[in-house]
Amino acid sequence: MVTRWLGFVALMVVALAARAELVIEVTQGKQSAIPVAVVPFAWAGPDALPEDVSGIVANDLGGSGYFRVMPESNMITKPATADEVVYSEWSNLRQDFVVVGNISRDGDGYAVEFHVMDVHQKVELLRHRVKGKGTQLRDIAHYISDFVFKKLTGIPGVFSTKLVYVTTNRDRTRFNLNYADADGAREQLIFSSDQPIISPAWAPDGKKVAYVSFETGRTAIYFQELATGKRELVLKMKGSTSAPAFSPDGTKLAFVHSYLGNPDIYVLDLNTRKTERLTNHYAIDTEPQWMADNRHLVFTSSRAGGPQIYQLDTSNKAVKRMTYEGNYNARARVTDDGRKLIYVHRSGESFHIASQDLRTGMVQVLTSDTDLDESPSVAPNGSMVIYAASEADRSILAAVSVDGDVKFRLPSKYGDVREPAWSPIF
Amino acid sequence: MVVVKNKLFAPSSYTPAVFAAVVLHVLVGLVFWFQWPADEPQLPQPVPKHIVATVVQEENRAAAERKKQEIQKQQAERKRQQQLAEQKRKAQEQAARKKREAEALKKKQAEQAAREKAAQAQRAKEQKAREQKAQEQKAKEAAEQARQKKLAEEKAAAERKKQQQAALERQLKEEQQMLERMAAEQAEQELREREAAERLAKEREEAVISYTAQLRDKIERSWQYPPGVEPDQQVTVRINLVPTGEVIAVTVVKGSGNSALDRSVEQAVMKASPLPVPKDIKVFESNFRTFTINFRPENATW
Amino acid sequence: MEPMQYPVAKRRPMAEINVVPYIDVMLVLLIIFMVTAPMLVQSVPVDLPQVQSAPTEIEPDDNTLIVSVTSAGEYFIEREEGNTKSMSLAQVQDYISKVKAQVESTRVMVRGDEQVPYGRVVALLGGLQSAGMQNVGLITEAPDPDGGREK
Repeated sequence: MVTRWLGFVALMVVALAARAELVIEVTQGKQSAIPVAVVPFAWAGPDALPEDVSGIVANDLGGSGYFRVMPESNMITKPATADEVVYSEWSNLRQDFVVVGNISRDGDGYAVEFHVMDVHQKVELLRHRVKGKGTQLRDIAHYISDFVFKKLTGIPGVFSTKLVYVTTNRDRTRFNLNYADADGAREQLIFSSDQPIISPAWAPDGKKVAYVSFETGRTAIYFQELATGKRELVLKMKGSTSAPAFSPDGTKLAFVHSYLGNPDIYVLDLNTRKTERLTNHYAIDTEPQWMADNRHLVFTSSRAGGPQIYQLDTSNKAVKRMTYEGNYNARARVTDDGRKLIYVHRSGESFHIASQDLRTGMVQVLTSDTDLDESPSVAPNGSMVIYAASEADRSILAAVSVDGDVKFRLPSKYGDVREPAWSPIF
Repeated sequence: MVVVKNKLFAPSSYTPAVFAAVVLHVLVGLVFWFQWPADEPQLPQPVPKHIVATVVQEENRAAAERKKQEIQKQQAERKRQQQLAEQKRKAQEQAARKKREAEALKKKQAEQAAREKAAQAQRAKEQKAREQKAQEQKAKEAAEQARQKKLAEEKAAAERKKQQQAALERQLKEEQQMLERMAAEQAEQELREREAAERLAKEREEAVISYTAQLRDKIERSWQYPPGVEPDQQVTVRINLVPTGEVIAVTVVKGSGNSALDRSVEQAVMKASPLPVPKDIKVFESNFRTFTINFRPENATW
Repeated sequence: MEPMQYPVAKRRPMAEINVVPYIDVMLVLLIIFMVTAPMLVQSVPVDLPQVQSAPTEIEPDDNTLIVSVTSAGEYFIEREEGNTKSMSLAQVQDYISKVKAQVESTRVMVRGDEQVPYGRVVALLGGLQSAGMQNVGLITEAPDPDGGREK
């Protein structure tokens, strides 16, 4: 019996050795936008829909920089269901994925069903049905975009996120704090004042924002709940306070306090309401921003002459310089995955948004169209950066993908737009 | 020319020639006259609207079918020949064995014959002795004679035996030589076959290397990985092909944990189908029917 | 002995015509005609049909579509799923023009049956041209090396 077993095992080994398979290593792929077709969603109703759902999805995906959306005019057929998709047609059109869907009435609202089809493997990757009222169709569209984005790229989408930003009129007599979709649509006014409003920042839960208002004549940090509009004066100190920044766990608020003209970084414990001074340097220390570990801060300091970006360990107050390229680097933001540092970088006479890879130290300037790009804010998935750009004689919002490939401008109706802040994912 | 000019004023019999010359010149002039302006307004001929077509050839279906059959036939033929060779070899072996057996038998018989002869001689001797004894008195005088004769006979028998022994030895030696020669031939044959096999194996190895490279190129061209991948992530897939290079199945053996990256790999393989595969069916079967690819986005930066 | 005298000069006119200038002129004429002959034959440009012995290579990265014309004169665009339904010329045109607009490197091959009326093929070629295809491929079957077509 034993010998028979041994024989069998030996046979297996021999067979395995004989079937030693060919192994090929593929290490060079293309890193380019994924071609995707978003077929207009079918709608059989008599009246026009309040929102073009598939159009919003296409716009979202195309604007993310990770997708190349095919123009509708080139579509041969416009399938509405998964069964109607003829894969070879789409592979002739060189698309990798097709999004199809249809909208139907559901009570007094709508039901949107959508499918994502893999053209090359000829399978349905995902199907989903979302319901909502007519006013929610835009949210539904962003939700679909997020869903598709997550499925196809593996990282979460940010199309349902929001922005807050400050607008001013020409005479600088009216300052508004606005709230809008990440694509700039559906702008709402959340606070208005005849004194300046600066440095809006999101709480990590996405329910409230912090900002600095001059309404009392002196600078003070306010919190405002978005759902209720309730405001809270959080900090008012002798001298000036500015640049509030919530720690990722939401327990602390870093800010800048300046008394007798020497700004330094402070931190406020939101539970105990106690402040602590983190830097004490005769040079300017400003614009703090937390890193994802709740422990380190990045900030701008002029301690080496011109503004450069430094890292501060809040536990031992140790400071480390992070930027060396150029003589002006300021207003840093760190992506949530901790891989990239985004800041304002002066190249020549103009100011641009630059990204620095924190592992390799490689710096890439992302913008080039405008001369004065300010206050970058990074999307919570790290794919896009929104910033204020000076165009002609006014300031507008613009966005650029972190690889610098895709750029677009956000619509705005009102005077100057400054200091955008991108919300976390809700 | 000067001469001709002078001849103009020559006697009247030159007139026809002069006339002919003038007419010819005028004719030549006319030809130029008509040709010259005709060249000027030469409009480009309107090119009829046309479409450029290229002829592309497909393999002849009947020929392809025949080729396939041919290959099958060849394979069958090869198999048959192998069997034939096998049979031949077996027959040879058998023949050799039989021969050896026959030799052994012959030898044994010879020995037996010798033994029998000896025994007979013994018996004859005994009988003779008995007769001798019986006739001792009668033929005592002949006894000496008979003894002499018997001695001679014995001597002759011994001589014969010796000769037989020598013949046997010679034959054995010859047989030995023949076996050796056969073994040498066989060894030579084997060497030739081995060399041929080695050459073929080398060719196949080269084919594998070249097609592996082509295959990798084609898949790399079609591989588009999603954002947010790390250069050290790896996806291992097993691929099943048919001899035309068409991909029939891609299975992720070991994923990267990023489903988008895994999918991009599966898509890359499907997009690259049909893959370049060797025409030699044996090379295909042993290497490309099923194989594994490791995908690593080493040039990922975003 | 006085030197031999040539039979001089009865000063009679020469009877024959001197042909040298004649030949001269004829040669000139000949050359002129030779030069003008190619100029005079100004033919209409005709693309002579050629059967290539080496089939055209198709770049593997090209997006190649195949339009089949059956003996009944119906058009099909070949797809992996099989030819489900025949298409009108306008449909083929629409399909091709859209693919061409999306993928610039698209190529079209026509796979026409031997028996199909020439007019149907030319109509298709015209349609392809207006769909933006300036160069199409005509798929032929290689001649049977043993001659004859197995039916």
